[in-house]
Amino acid sequence: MNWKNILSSLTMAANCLLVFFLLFYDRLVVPSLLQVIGRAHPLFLHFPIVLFALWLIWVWVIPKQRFHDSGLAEHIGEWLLLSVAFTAALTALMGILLSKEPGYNPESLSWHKWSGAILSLILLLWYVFYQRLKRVAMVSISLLSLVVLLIAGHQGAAITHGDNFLLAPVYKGRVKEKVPLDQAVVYRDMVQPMLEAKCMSCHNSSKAKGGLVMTSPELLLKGGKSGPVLDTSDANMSLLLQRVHLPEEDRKHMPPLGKPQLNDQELAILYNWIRRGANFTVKVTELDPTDTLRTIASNIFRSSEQENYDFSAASEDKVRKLNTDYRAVYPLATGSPAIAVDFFGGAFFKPDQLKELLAIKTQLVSLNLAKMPVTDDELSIIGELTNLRDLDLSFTKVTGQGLTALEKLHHLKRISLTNTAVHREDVQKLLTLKELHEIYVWNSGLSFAEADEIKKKYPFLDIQTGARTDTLFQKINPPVNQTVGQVISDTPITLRLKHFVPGTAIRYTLDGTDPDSIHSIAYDQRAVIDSQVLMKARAFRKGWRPSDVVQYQFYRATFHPDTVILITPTDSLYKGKGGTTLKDLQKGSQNFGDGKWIAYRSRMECMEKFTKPVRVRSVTVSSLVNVGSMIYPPKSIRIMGGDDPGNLRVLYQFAPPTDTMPQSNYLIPYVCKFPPTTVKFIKVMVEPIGKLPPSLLPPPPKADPKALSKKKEKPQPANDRGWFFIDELFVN
Amino acid sequence: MEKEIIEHALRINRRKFLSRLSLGIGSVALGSLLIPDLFKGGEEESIMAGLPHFAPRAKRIIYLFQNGAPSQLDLFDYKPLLQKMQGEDLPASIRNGQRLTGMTADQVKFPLAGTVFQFNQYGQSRAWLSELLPHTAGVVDDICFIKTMYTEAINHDPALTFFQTGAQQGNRPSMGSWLSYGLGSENKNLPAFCVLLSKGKGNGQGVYSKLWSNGFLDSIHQGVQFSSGENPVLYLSDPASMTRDDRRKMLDKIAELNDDSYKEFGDPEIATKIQQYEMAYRMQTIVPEITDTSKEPEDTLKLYGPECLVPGTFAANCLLARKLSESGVRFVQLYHQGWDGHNNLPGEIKGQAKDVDQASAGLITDLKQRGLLDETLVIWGGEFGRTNYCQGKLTKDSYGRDHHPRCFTVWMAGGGVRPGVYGETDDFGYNIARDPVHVHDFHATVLYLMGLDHEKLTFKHQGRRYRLTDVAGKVVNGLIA
Repeated sequence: MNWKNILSSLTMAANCLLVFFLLFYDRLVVPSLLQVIGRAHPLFLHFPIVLFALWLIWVWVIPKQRFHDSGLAEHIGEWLLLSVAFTAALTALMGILLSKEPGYNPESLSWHKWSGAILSLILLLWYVFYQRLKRVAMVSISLLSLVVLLIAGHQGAAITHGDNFLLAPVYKGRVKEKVPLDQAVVYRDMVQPMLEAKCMSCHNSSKAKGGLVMTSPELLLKGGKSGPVLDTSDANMSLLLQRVHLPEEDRKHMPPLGKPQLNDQELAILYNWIRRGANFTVKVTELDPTDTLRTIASNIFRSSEQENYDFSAASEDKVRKLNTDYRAVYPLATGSPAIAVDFFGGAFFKPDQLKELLAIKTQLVSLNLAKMPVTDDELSIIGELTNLRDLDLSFTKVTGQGLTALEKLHHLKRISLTNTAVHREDVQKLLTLKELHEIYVWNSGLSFAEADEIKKKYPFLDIQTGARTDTLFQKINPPVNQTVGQVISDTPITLRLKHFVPGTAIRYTLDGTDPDSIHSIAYDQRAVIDSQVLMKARAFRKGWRPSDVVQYQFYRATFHPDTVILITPTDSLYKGKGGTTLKDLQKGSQNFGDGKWIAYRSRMECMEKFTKPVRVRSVTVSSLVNVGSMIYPPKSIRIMGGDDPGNLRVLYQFAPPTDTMPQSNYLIPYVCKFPPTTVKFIKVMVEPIGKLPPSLLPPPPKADPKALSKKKEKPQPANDRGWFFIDELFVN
Repeated sequence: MEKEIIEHALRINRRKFLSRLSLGIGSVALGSLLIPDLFKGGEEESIMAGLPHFAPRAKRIIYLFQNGAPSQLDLFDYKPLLQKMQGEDLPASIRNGQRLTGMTADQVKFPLAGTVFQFNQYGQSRAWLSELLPHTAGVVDDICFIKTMYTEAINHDPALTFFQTGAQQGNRPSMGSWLSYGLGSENKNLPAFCVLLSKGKGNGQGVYSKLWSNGFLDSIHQGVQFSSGENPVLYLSDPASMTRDDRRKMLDKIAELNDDSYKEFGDPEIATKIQQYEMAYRMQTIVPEITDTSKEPEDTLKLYGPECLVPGTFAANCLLARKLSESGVRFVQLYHQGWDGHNNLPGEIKGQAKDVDQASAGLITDLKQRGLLDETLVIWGGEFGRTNYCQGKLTKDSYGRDHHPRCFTVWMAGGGVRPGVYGETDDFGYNIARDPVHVHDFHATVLYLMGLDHEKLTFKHQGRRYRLTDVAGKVVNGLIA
C-alpha cells in the first residue's frame, strides 16, 4: 500500500472537485448529510493551519544537518507537505459545502472562499514541484501561501465572530450606539433590523429570491415576482404578512422552514407597522400612546436621559470641601463629572455660599435653592453657572427683574419659579433659551390665562401651572371632641371641641337639633355642660360646605345611692363589679366586654338605697343595643320608689320601642321622668326581650367532622334568649 | 555526565526545586497573615459610598403602603365576568392548585363574587378605576398601574417582610435601609428613612418595627418612626433654661466620653450613637419648620382634603411626607392599616378608600406643581391581593375576600416611571395573563430608578453577599419611561 501515492491522488482529486464546485457554484445544492460534513469545516480547518505552521518551521528553522540520514529528512518533509495539501483540500471542500447555508454575508464569504480555494491549489502545486524549487522560489511561495492563509483565516474569523473581533476591546471607534427611545424611527430601528437579520440573507441584491430585494425602502415597495409585498389596500393585508402568517409547513411560508423564524414580538411589529400604512419615516414618539408598537418599542429601547457631558470632573477634594451641613454637593453618579448642589435650612443661607460654588462652575449642572431667601442680587452669581441644566428657584424671593441675569444659561433645560413673584413679561426673557423645555409657574405672578397663552405660542415648552383649586368646593371635616368625662355629678364639665384647621368656626346645640351657622351657639373655651343633654357640633369655614354633625351624650347624676343591691343575679359572663357598677359613674363603651357593663337574659331587679331621703324626678337607665350580638331593647322598664322597701309605689313604667335592624349598634339612655317625689329606696325592674323568634337566631353550629375530641359534648342549653345590658343608673 | 553539567549550570535539581517551592508558598501564606487584604482581589464595594451607580431618574421615594392588602378587584381590576358568574364555584382549572389560607381551606364552595362598585375608564391611558377612587381618577395620566404583581407569601407577616426586606423570613434590612446604605440622606439634618403610621377603621393587621429595621446593616440606617400624635417628634426643643450653646457643649462632652469608649471597645454601635446624637441636634433646628402645618395655604387643604391637618390621619401623613421628601429625606414610608377585608368588605373598603383617595391624588398633584414629581417616586400598594371568590357568606351586597398572592395591583407615579397600564390578568382576576412582575423584579426596578444596580448593592454578612433582591430580580423595562 503506497500511502503516499493514495494520498497524493486523493489530494489531486479533491482539488479537481474543488475547481468543479467553484465553476458551477450557483447550481450547487447540498443534501443534508453533506451539510453535516460541511459544518465540520470550522473544526477541520485547524489541521491544515497547524500542519502548515509545522511545515514552515520544518523548512526554515529546523537544521537538516542534524539528520545523519538525509533520506529521513526528505521523508519527513514530503509527508508534512502532503498532509498539509491533503487537509487543506478537504477543508476547502467542506467550506464550499458550508457556504451554501444561508445567513452569510456574501462579500466576506466570497473573499474567504476564493482565498481558501487558491490556498488549496497553491499547496497542491507546491507538493508536486517542491523538490525542484530553488531557494528563491521556495521563499516566494512560502510568503505567498502565508499571505493567502492569513487573508483566508482573517476573513473566516470575521464571518464567524464579526468584523474587528480581535481588536474590539481596544478599538474605540464608531460603536453602534443603542438608539434612545425619543430618537427611534419605527422603520429604521424596529422593522429594518429584523429584516436584516431574518430576511435579507435571501432577499438582497446578490441573491434576490423571488425577485424581492429588501435592502432599501424603494426596493421593498417595488416588490418581487409575485407583485408588491406591502400593499396595505389589500384586504389580506399585503403579501408579506400573508406569507409570514402561513402555517410553518406550507411551502410558501416565510421565512422558509429550517431558517430562523420570526418570533411573536417581530410578528407584532410587522403587523402593526403595515396596518398603519407602512410609514418609513414616522418616529416612535409620534405614535399614539395606546399603539401596540409604542408598547413594544418601550420594551426594546430605553430612553436615555443620560447626557454625555464633555467636561472633566472636578477634584474630589474640592467637592468634599464644599459640602457643609446645609449645602450638599455631590456628583450625579459614580464616575460622572456632572455635579448637583442642594441647599437646606433657609435660616443658615448666606449669599457667599453661592459665590463659593463658582469654583465648580464647569461641572455644576443642577442647583436646588428651593425655599432659600434668595433675592435678585444672587441671580447674577447664578447667571455665571453656564453649565446649569436644572435650576430650582421655587419659594424664593426672586422677582422678575432678576431673570435677565439668567440669559447666559444656554444649557438650561428646566427651571422652577413656583411661588415667586415673577410675571408674564419676566418669563418671556427666559423663552429665548433654546434648550428650555420645562418651566414651573404654579402660584407665581402668572395667571392661568397667561400660562395657556404661552403654551399655545410655544408648543414644545412644558409649562406646569399646578392644580386649579379655586373652583373646588368641598366639605370641611367635623370638629373633634376632646371633652374629658361624660357624667356630670357635682361639677359641670368643660366642653372641649377642637378643629385642626385654624380659623374654622364651631357651632353646637344642646337641644338635639342639628347646628347651623347662624342660630346655634358659637363654641368658645368657656363652654360648660351641667345637665343631661345630647350635644351636637358642626364646623363652618368660608369657601367650604358645612361639615358632618358629630354628637356626644352627656349624663347627669345628681343623687348618689349609698348601696345598690342586685336582687336577681346577672348573667355569669357579665358580672361587672356587681351592684357597684351601676353607681360608679363609669360609662361603658360600645365594646360591651369592657367590664363596665352588667347583663341579664332574664328579669332584672335591683334596689338603690339612699340613707338620706332624696327628691327625685327622673331615673335614666343607660343601656346599649347590638343586634348582631343579640343585645336588644328590653320589653319593659318599671321604676318603683318609696321610703320602705316592702312598700313601694310605681313611679314610671314603659315599653321601649323594639329594634331588630341587623346593623344596629349604639348606646341608648332610657330617661324615665315622673312627678317629683321624695324617696329613700328606688327599685328598678327590667324585663329583657326574652325568647327570640327563629328568624333572629344565628344558625346552629354544624357538627365539626374534624373535631379532635372524640367524646360526646354535653348538649348546650338553648341559646335563644336576647340580652339586656346596663352600665349605669342616673338618678336626678 | 551531561545531565550533571547542566544541573550544575542551573544550580538546581529536583530536591532543591521542591524545597524552594514550599518555602515560597510558605512566605506567601505568612504575607497574607500579616497583610489581611493581600488576596482580596477587586473590591466590589469600591463604589464611591453614597453615590448612585448611574444617573438616577428618581432621587427620593414616598411609599404609601396599604397594610392588610386592598382588594384589587374592587378598586383597580375590572372583571365583569365575575359579576356574570356571581355565586358560581371557582373552576379548578383556574385555581390550579393555589394553596389556600387556613381561613378558607375548610370552605366546600368558592363562590365567585363580582364587585358591587361601578367601574369606569379614565384618562389617556384608559385605566379602569372603581367609584371608590374618584380623586385618583383625576390624576390617572401620571400613574402606572402594575396589574400583575405576584408573590409567594400568603399571610401578612411573611408577605410584609417579603415586600420590605426581600425575604419571607429573617431580620434582613428593609428597602429604606438599603437605600440609606446605598445613597445616604440628601439632607444631613434629617434621617434618610422615615416611617409614618395611620390606621383606618377597617379590619386591621399590625405593623412592627421589623419592617423598617436595618437588619445587619449599620444601625444608622434604621427607619425613624415619627409619632402619630400632635407632635411627630417629641422633645424637639431644649428645656427653658438651656441655651443652644449649653446643648452643644453637652453634646461635645458626651461625644468625648463615647469616643474613649469606642477606642477601648471598638463597638460600632457607639459610633452610631454619636452620630445619632449629632443628627438629633441638627434635627432640632430643621424639623420644627417641617412639622409646622399651621401655615399651610388653603390650596393645600383643598388638594389633600381638610383631614391633612388632623394629626395621625393618612392625609396628614401624606402632607408630612411631602414636606420631609422635599427637604431631602430619601425614603418616606407610610403605613395605612385596615384593608384586611375578610368580612363585610364593601362596607369597610368604602371608609378605607375615602381615607386614602384624596390624599394620594393630592400628593401627586402637589409634587407635580412643585416640580418634584419627576424626581420623586410615589408607590401605592399592599402586600398581596384578594381572592375573586367570597370568604364566608355571599349576599347581594356583602362579601369578604381572602388573601390572594397570584396577582395584585400596585401603582407607581413620577420618578421616571412610564404612565399607563402594565400587565394583564385573566378574565377571572385570578391568574396573570401577561407580563408578570415579581416582588424581586419590583425591587430591582425601584433600585434601578434610584440609580442603583440591584446586583451591585451588596453587603457581606455571614460569609455571603446579601442584597435586597436576594438572588433574583430583573429590571422591568416596560415600566421605565
